[in-house]
Amino acid sequence: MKEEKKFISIDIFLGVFCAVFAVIFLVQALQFPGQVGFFPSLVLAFMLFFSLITLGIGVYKTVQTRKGNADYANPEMKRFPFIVLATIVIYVFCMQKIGFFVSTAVFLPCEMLLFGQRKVLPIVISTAIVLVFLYFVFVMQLNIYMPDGLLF
Amino acid sequence: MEIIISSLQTVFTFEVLIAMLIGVLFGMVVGALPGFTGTMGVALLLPITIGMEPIPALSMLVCLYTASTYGGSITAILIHTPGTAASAATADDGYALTLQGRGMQAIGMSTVTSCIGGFLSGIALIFISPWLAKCSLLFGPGEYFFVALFGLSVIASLCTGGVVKGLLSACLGLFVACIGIDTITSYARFTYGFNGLGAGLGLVPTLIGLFSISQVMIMAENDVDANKDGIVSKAISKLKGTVFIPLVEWKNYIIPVLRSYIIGLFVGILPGAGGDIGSWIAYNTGKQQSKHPEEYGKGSLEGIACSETANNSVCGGALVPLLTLGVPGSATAAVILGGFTMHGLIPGNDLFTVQAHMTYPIMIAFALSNFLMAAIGLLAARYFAKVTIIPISILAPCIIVFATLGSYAVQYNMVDVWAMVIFGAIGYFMRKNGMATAPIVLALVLGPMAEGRLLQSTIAARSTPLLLYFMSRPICVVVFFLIIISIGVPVYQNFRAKRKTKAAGSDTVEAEE
Repeated sequence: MKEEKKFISIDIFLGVFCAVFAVIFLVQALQFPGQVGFFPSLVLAFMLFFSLITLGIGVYKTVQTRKGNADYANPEMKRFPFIVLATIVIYVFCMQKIGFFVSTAVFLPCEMLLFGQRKVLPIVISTAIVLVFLYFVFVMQLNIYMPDGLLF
Repeated sequence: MEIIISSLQTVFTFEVLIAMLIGVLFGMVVGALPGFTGTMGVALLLPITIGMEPIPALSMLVCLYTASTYGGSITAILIHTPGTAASAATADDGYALTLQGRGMQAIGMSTVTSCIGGFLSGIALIFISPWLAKCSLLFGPGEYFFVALFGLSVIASLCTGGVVKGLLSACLGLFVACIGIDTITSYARFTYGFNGLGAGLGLVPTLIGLFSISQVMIMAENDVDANKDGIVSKAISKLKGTVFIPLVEWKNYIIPVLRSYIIGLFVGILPGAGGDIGSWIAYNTGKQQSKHPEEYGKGSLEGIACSETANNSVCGGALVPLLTLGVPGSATAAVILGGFTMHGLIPGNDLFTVQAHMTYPIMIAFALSNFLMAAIGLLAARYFAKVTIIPISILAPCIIVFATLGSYAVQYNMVDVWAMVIFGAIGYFMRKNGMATAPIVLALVLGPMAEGRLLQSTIAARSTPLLLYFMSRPICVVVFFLIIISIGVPVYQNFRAKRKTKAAGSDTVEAEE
């Protein structure tokens, strides 16, 4: 019951965030010369309008849930997806610094371990297959050169 | 007729046939994997097509589209887990048949009807598109602007999170499409002096981020291992009998198949509506019209025929507005449109006149790929289900690597890779909060067209107020009312459903008192 009283619909945060986002860029778009800002201004004005409606819906959901008339719930946020996102950021950063193939050869086994794979053989085989496949298709067949950084 | 014969010759070349085979195989695998979609498959394969000729490249993408729609039915039938949303209607009947020991027949029905739906929609695509493209010559900038808005309004109104969030998502997509140097005035919009943003945010990295990276993040939080407790291996080992259905029985399915084909085609042509909607409408209509409605949901081959014919028929239908008006009929078609523009094929009448030698082979490859898909499906569908045995812990990291490489390969630009990461995070937040990513994709594709046509309209209107100018054009008025209907109907239905629930709730309370 205590938790229900504290409930704030995620739509309120979403509405406020989108409204602020729309206002910031709308102000900039209105300063563009001539027709340049016409379309972005129109789009951002509509975005602001729909953000305010979302905010309204969020307020309604919050009030109804707190009164006990409805049972709206917010999506549960888990930590693991953000850890995955962080590893992707590190991977892309390393790719620029030490090269695509080396960082991929390190990233793949680490990420597989992170996702819960504990068997060494599937990790080694799949990493090797992916690296050979990428080299054969992208470098040898399509002549696409990967970021090479300090190493390979 | 001449163009069709010469296009057939083009299709039956080694390069195009191999591209079709890769598209079909990859599509079936992607479709069979729960959590993976055709849209994600096309987005991942798009960068590989950069170094290819347009005909094999685009043939590969359209073949992947139809094969992934079919691939979803394999796991729907065998393990009650639809590989794609378009196969959800197949799951109940298909799995019931598997439990009855008739899983092979269910797969046979799904394969043959998917082939019929896909092939006939390909034929319709070949014959309707040139005619519609000629009609598009009647369209001025105002009409194109309204058609773009119509596409966005339909896809936004069909979002599960609600119309408002769908429209909000579309606005975000339109805003992102504005980033970069304005093509008319060369004025840099929202670039903040950052050269990498001058050309705008790349379509392909944005799509890969929204569909692939966000999907990996969703997988990370959900346990989507389809082969939990060896369920797939058990289902495959239980499969007995033949995939072939006796010819005499087919007479019962001709009418449902043809009806579902027409429904699927119409839903596909409607901008924004995808295979899931087409298959559910066809399935429900089939149930209403059937002599044995009681069998639906409990193992009806007719039910499978309805949903599978329709969802593959949607694929061909979705390509009709894409090729003629540049308005994709589904989210996957929106990504395919990115492929067309990347290879220099701009939708419109020119595709059927100046560039007909490229467009017709692609359409014919789409139609014929359904036979390739059927042949592989009938021979090896049970083995395709085995791809679900590959654990997510192996697949997810591989997807990240392919997505990263794909984003980089488009322009050899690391800005694109960072854009992919950012849009992956945005896509994840959107999906978690009930905002669909399909409208943002459609908006990214349609944004430049909508802006260009709106500006042309303001010039054409001269001193007349823009609204009056639009209202003086009959097609604009018709499309405007379609937009109102597409947004108004779901809002009204939602309102009515809520009122009904409220009324039912108060009745229960009164009864309890």
